[in-house]
Amino acid sequence: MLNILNNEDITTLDRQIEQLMDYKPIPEHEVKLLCDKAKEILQKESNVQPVRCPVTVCGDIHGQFHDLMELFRIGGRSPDTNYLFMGDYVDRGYYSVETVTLLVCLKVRFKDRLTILRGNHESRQITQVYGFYDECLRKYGNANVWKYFTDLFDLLPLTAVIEGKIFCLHGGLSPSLDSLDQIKGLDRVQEVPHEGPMCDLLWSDPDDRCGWGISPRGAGYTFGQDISEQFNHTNGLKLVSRAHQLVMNGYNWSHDKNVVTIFSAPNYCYRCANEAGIMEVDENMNYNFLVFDPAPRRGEPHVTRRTPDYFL
Amino acid sequence: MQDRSNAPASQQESPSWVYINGLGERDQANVTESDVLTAISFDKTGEYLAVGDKGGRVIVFRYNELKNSRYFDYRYFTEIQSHEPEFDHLKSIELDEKINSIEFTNNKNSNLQMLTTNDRIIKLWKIEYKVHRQSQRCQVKNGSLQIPKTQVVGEGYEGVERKQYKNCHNYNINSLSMSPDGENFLSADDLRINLWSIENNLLAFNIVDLKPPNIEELAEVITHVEYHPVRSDIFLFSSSKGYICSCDMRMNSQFEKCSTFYMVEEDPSRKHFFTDIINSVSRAKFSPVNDNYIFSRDYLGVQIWDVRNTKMPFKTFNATDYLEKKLCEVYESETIFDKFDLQISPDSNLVLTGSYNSNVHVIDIQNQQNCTIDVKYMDKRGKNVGQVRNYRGKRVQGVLTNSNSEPVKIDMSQKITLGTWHPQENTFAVAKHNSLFIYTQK
Amino acid sequence: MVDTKALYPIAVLIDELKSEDQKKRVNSVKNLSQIAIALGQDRTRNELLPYILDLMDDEEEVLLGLADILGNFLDLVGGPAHAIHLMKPLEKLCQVEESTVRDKATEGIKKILSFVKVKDIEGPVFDLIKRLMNGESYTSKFAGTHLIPTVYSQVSPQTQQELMGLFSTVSQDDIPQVRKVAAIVLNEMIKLIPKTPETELLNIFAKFFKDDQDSVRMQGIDSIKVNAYLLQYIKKFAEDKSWRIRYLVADRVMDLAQGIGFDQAREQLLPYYVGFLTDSESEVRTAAVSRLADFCKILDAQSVIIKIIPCLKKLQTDTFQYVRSALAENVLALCTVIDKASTNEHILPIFLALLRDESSDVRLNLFKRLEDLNKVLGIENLSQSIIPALTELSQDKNWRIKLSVIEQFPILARQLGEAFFNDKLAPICITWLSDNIFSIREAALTNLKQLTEIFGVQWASKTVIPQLLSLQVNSNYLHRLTPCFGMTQLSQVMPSEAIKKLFLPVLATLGQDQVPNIRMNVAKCIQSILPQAKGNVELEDKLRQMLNQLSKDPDQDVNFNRTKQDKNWRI
Repeated sequence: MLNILNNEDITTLDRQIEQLMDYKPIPEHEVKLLCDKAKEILQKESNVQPVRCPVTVCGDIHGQFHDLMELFRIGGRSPDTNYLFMGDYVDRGYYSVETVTLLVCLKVRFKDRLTILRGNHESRQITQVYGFYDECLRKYGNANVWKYFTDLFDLLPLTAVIEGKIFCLHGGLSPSLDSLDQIKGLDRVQEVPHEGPMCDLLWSDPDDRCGWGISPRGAGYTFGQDISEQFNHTNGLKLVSRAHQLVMNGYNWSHDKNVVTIFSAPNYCYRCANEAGIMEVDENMNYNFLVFDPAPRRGEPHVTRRTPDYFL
Repeated sequence: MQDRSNAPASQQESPSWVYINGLGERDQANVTESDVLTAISFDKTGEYLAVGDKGGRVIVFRYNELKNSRYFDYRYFTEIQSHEPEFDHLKSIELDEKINSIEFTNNKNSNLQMLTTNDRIIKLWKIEYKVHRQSQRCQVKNGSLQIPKTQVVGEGYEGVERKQYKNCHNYNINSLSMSPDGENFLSADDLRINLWSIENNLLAFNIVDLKPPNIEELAEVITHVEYHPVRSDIFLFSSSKGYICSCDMRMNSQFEKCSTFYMVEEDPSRKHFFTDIINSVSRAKFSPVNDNYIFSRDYLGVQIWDVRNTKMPFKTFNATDYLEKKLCEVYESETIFDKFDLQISPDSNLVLTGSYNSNVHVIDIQNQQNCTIDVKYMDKRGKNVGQVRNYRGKRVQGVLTNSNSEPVKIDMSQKITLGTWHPQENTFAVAKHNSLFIYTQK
Repeated sequence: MVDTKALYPIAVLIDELKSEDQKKRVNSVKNLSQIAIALGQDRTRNELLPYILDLMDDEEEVLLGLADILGNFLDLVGGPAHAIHLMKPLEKLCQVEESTVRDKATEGIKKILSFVKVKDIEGPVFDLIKRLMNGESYTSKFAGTHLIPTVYSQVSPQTQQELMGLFSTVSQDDIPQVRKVAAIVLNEMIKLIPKTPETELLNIFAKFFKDDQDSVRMQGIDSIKVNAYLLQYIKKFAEDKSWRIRYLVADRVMDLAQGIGFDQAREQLLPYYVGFLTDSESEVRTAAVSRLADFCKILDAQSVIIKIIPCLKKLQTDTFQYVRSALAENVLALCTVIDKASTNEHILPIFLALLRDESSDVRLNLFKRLEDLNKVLGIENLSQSIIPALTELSQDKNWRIKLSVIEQFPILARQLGEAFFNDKLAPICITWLSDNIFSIREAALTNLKQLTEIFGVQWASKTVIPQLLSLQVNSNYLHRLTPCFGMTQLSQVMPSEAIKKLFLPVLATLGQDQVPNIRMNVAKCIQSILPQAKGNVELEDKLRQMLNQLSKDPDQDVNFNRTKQDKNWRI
């Protein structure tokens, strides 16, 4: 395959990655060029993007950049470790811009070492309510960067499948979709719709009750063990791996190990006191979960119970 | 402890108060909910007076000397849109712009600065004289750079936001207090008190934490925090549980068990259903001149504590005596939870507190008198206001009477909760709905 | 003829000084020297400086940039002879509300004055200070006060007297923050006049000592140590009602001891120090315990045993973890002051108690000074207690604790010696190599490298390298990466022959790994080893061959690494 990166691109990307690691967003015009490059890559990816093992699978990040750094400390650096992120990079936390920019930089720099899927927060509508839009305005003084990224979000793959066995996506299954082939047929390049199969993939949740249920979220469905068993069976899958829901121990099995939920934002919203989790899948398709706590924060307002220097 | 008073000995005759001015939209048809005043404060010099409202605005008024008059007034100076409605993305809650507290940080000879807060975000504003200039473009002429000419296109006092102190309170902030040395300030929410360095908005020192391990066991909230008037290491806070807690930062670095509590030990046989509710302290203050006294306000009146006796106030003055027989009624209407402000004159002899029926009370401690002022727009500056009644024991005699000596009907919807006293003079301001009224001693 | 074209970018910079966009203003201010160079010294003085005076009501970041650059502007306005031109804008910046800007501007003035003969401009400089001290806003007094000691010793006696007058006035200012700054500056003033009982300053100090505000009073501590006439105040400070003042004495006890001489300190400070160790305020106890090592060195063994140790026995069960942490970090230093029997009798029980502390932080801190205990008691006597504790810490469920333990290991290795290390600690080091947390594996490799530096390559080749290299057959690629990273690290401290013998076969195997991430890291590893291979023709040839092979890899990331060595970004 022809490589779209030249040496200059690589130098630029490496510089940008370094700068982002230092909690400094890159300039607006660089974001534009970055998103253009990312679009070229993402548009070639499938709705059901095939991923090779070994790979480490991660759930929601939600702008908790400190904790994304912690994730790399736990799981290893990209590109040495392969990663698959299942969406929800932005909103809620204070560093959505840095988080999504870094992941996109890594995607462009090492496209075969990193897969990024779309979450329900990778949408124009949701990001205007939950923080990403406001953060872009605050950090760039205008909404251009928000526009570049939300336009890029339209191209993110909806799902991935590791070695044909582990089906990865943000939300869950859809009553309109029985097979991976049907997913491949969707036209994904659009804002996340309010209903329909594409919406369901990004919004649905597993449930203890059998069959399909109405989701309390107002979008997507709940699906029971019968549904996931059937889906896995039909498609020759071992497991559905998804994110989207806060789980206190970082990961949570359901549906008799037909479904696993992975959530990678520790102490979600800075108050939920949950651990974060990631799933390491090795080259023999053995998997292993790692859980971790929030990283020490720097540069953020915080409360102390020890007498601070300014009072001594 | 010493008496710091330089104020003249208070006169024997009762003070008579005069109306100075009323500021705000008089026609209630033009008043919206966002115009309702929610905070009021004099600056440290008395030259400025600020009010905050539900719309997140802070309006500053400035002292104005009047020619050919023995009086003065306060006039509009500038206005800041201090807070905006926000959505807290972390907690998914709407954050109102309503101003809960204003605290000036300025000393004399300094720029005007103030802290303002809504439920969660504290901001430091300075008021600055800004000159707006327009520059021509820089030209290169004959191989030489021409420094462009500038012209002034506008100037005036403006608010400039200097800092935000945020994400360090999980409950609604009710009060701010600036340390007398100008270095630190305290912020209190329902359950916690933080100490901040004014220069450091990233690190708050949590010095009081009343949050029980299990939030369901919550039995009290902090109602107010305030520094000692001159000591930067002493502060007090008041609680809905009916106590005042005085904390000395010289003694300890944290305040778990080491503070002095002022609280009446209620005789259990005399306790009734409403005792705990009406004992809730809405506001407490150190005496501005004498370290031995602390003033407090509960639902029915004002207490003065001698710091040497923590079990019983040494004086109490009823303010809303007529309510004592109506506790069931005010409980039903929830007005029993109203919180009235407390302000003290610089010589410490007069206490201002709010009430119902558009009334405020100025209690003369020495002369045992209660001057009740009907707060309303008047057409003339310098008009006498107030009706003086004597305390008998600690109670005033029934409700006010009108000119025909008939008892006045009490309008519970017209309440005045907010006031502020001038730092040096016997002048005070109170907020009523959307309006600000200023009174001074004749 | 001037190159007009070169002037256009400068014109843009000038425009941007007043841009609507704050970022552009900040940038333009940063490049102010470019504008000045283009304009020349005369025009910079006469046109640019007045022009930027208009900027003085800008936002903090812009003003901070301005204050910073103006302090370095002397050459651009024509050198010391024109220094006074820079004073006007800096004076304005000294008066703003933002303390960061004021401090930077004051620093700028001091810097400029350091290049100037103050005598030559004594009048204007004095006027500047006077204006600041009498400034309309009280914030300008801060800067004025700070400038006094900078010029004091360079001006005439008459000006000195006037400056002292200004200082005296400011020290009685009714705004506490102003008095606080005066109290800070007093520390410098006292240094300028150290030998004489300069009564004026001592009077000022006495006033500060009685100040209402702790924040003013506490500044005096730094004056005390430099002026013998103030020593009487040590007692007053040490017995102060306010814990913050006592804290300062505890925290600065060594400064004070140096000030009064160790003989005096033994006699005068010891009773107070003992008091601090049992103070009612935990912050004071912590400060005192933190000075334990240094303070006990000036004491005799008997005093330590009789006076100090009884207090420590109480502190080992202090309710505040940070007090116990400080104790754990410092208590072992006492071993070198008292004899072996006493160490056995007094310190060992404290050590053993802290070794069982519920907080891993406390336990960890004990190992920072294990050497002191080891020197006295010998490792054989300790190993029974420390090995289980270390093993437990090395498996702590908090990986950051584990990380701190690893970081202690090279120090422990030096202290405990090769034989003991091989026997008891090397196995722990090997276990870390296979930890499931990446950062632990990485730290374990740094540890191996440092151990190799300590015990030598021979030791490493025998004890740890085989274990590291055996990971090449691990079934999980994340663990096969460990030898790749390890060879990169270790090759920095190994001779090329050893690299050839030990690493080359492993690189050859891993270079054929089915997982591209491994091949990619073999390529990276080879690139980092190549400089070490210089001179060893055979090794260099082999490495280049492998690299050449890898450059044909079908995976682009393996390929990339031939031309591009990506930085290992910090995480």
